[in-house]
Amino acid sequence: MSKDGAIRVLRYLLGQVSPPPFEYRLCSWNATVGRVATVDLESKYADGATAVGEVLRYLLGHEMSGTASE
Amino acid sequence: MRSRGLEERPGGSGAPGTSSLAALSRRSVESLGQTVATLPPKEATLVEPPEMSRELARALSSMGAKRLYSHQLEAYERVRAGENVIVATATASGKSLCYKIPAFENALENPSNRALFLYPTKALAQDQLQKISKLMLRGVHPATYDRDTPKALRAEVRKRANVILTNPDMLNVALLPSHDSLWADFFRNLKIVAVDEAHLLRGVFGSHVAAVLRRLRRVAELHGADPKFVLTSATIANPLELAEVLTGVPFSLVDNDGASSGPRRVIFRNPPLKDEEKGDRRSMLTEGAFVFSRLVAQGVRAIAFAKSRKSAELIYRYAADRLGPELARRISPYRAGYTVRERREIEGRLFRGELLGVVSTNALELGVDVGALDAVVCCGYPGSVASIWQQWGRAGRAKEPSLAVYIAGRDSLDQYLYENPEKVLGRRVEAARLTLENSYILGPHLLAAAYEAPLEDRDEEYFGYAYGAVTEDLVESGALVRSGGRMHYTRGDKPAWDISLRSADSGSVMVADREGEVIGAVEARRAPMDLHPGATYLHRGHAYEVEDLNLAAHNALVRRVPNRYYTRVKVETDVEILEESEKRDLPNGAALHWGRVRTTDVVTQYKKIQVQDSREIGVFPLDLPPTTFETRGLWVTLPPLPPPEGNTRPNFVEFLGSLHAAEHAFIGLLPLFAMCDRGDIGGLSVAMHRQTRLPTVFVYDGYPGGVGISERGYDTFEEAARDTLGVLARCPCKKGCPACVQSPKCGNWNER
Ligand SMILES: [Zn+2]
Ligand SMILES: [Zn+2]
Repeated sequence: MSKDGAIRVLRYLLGQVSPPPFEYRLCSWNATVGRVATVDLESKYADGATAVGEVLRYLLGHEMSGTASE
Repeated sequence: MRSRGLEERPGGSGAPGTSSLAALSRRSVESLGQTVATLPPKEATLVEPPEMSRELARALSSMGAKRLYSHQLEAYERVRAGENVIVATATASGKSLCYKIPAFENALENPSNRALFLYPTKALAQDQLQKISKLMLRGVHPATYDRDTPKALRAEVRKRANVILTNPDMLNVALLPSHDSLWADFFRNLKIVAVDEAHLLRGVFGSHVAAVLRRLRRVAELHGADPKFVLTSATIANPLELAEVLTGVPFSLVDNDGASSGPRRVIFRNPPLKDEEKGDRRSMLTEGAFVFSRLVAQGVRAIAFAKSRKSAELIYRYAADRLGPELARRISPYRAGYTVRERREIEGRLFRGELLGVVSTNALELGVDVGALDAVVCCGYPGSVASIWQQWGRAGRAKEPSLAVYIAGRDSLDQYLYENPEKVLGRRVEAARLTLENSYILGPHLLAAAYEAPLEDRDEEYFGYAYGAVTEDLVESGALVRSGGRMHYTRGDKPAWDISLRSADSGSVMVADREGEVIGAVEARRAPMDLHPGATYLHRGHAYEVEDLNLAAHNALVRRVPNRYYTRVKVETDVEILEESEKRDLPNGAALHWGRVRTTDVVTQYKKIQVQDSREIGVFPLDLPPTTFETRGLWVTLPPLPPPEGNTRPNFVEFLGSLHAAEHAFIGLLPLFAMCDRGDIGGLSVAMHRQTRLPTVFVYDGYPGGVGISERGYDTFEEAARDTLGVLARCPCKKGCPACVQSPKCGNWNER
């Protein structure tokens, strides 16, 4: 069980995945996304399933760099 | 003091101005914990009583006051105007007069007018009988009617008593089935039905009582009566909804509390951490004993509440040790199960100052009055915020100052409330939930109703939406027979006798020792978990080991063993979605759903743990059949996981661990919204569910058919999730502890 992971899940479900730290992580995680400052998660998500995975990586905790988000 | 309203507290008017708290120094108060609030005193809103019979006016003034609290008058006027009323005011605000005055007035106008007072326990009914008898109202003939009522007296009670004090269980098995014979006169003249402590009517018990009250309404109407309902409740989020779901009729809410209260200091205490990393704290029992004995040592009249009989005994023993032999004689345990006389004796000793303190189980928070107390120590979260207030309400005589202490246990709700005193002190979020749409509960009551009088289609008016489908099933299975446009119960027995209002299903497994003596019973559904071979079964403080479980024969064989180990089962759970009834989108492509689900549990292993030091002795396999039931649940779906990319693969194991931990934390907090036990809720997290094909977290009602818990979770999801997040963010532990993500009943042993 993961307490940090549970925090991520709940933030995600509450829409509290805040852009700055999140985008930073997204950027460091996936080079194919490019400069993440330009990624509009809402509209990307609306486009369909492909972008969802990017948001989900937050959930999976890969980008956690030791500091808690927010 | 003389002008105070009707408080109905024995000893309440005694010893005015002598709060034992005066002796407490500021320093000793500070040593008890952190003061989170000082609630100001409140003046009573007293009003002139309405026009009423001289007999009643005399009796009321003999109780200590000539005037009424404003809420008592409001309730009276509304009932007299033909409304159904639910009164939700503070403990000790004289709520019971809200139904007594109209009922007595009816009886005094015409002695054949009858009233029915329903209490959740026998003790409470007996307590109230004594209070009513003291009024000596000529023309009002009160009597309790329960299993203790001698057979020889019963006919006399039925004939003569115009105020019957009983419980929903007796109404179910005795009064309703005999409505057209023994009780015909009673139902014909029934004018008032009072339901005391209505907030306790929730979950399984509440759902049963709702069905019983609908049967009562139907039977009364068959006899041409149209009784009015008066319900009383602790302060909860949804008193009106509760009253209307319980009875099926519209209600007016009376919640403008006119009673006075003295200033109250509220202190919260958190046992210190022993191990920060694991989140392990000192026991709330020793802390409770510390606070309690400290108060008693300084002459404060105090009561300590514990969550179980065993905890109460331990607090009493620790406190006695601290106090030494001399003072220990001035404290006493105070148990459920005491007779009225034993309780009165303790009250008398408290009042005279011979006793200074009592230690009680939660059972006594229920309106049973201990009298003259100035401080309450509430050891651990008693299961609802309303209960905390009921416990606190036991202290504070009239306008005297009082002290209320809350000691947090290790569990997540205990800790959450410690961190958020405003959740206790402020607006209530907990709602008492029950349902009339559970076919497992409604079905047996419809058989009972059909026995009472053949059912017709228009009876849906009493039994709600599920009526049609459930009666259809009963006809199909042959339990009801359709004839002449009505549905009849044709077997010879009384179906109400098979209904236990306090449990979800009637099947249970008997636990017997080698001599064949039955020592207990466990709901059949729970048997594989609690009575598997090798399980430690605790009964009245003794340990037994289960030697054999025979599910077909509904029995388990146990033998007495020294209390050295406890056992925990591992359960494989599956949840199948049967029907989605509600859905709404959550942020980030997640969604929330609610509907019918079927859960299947297989107990696969158990482990044995040493009581003394929690050391694990071993893990043993089990071979037991699955248990399955249909219930209601919510489920959260997350978007599909990203596919593996290059040599980086998402960490699915940790992801599942995140979902699982979030599920536990959410379930830990949900009782604060849905007024239930953590044990009433089940959960399952999967990285991909075979039906949704998505990562899914299920949270479901742990009873066949459901009782409204997950529905409340669906309705308040965001608020509950936000509070859950707060618990996790603030918990001092590093990797999760019992106060945040670990669950005492996890079928996965808090692993994965
Ligand atoms: Zn923790
Ligand atoms: Zn679990």
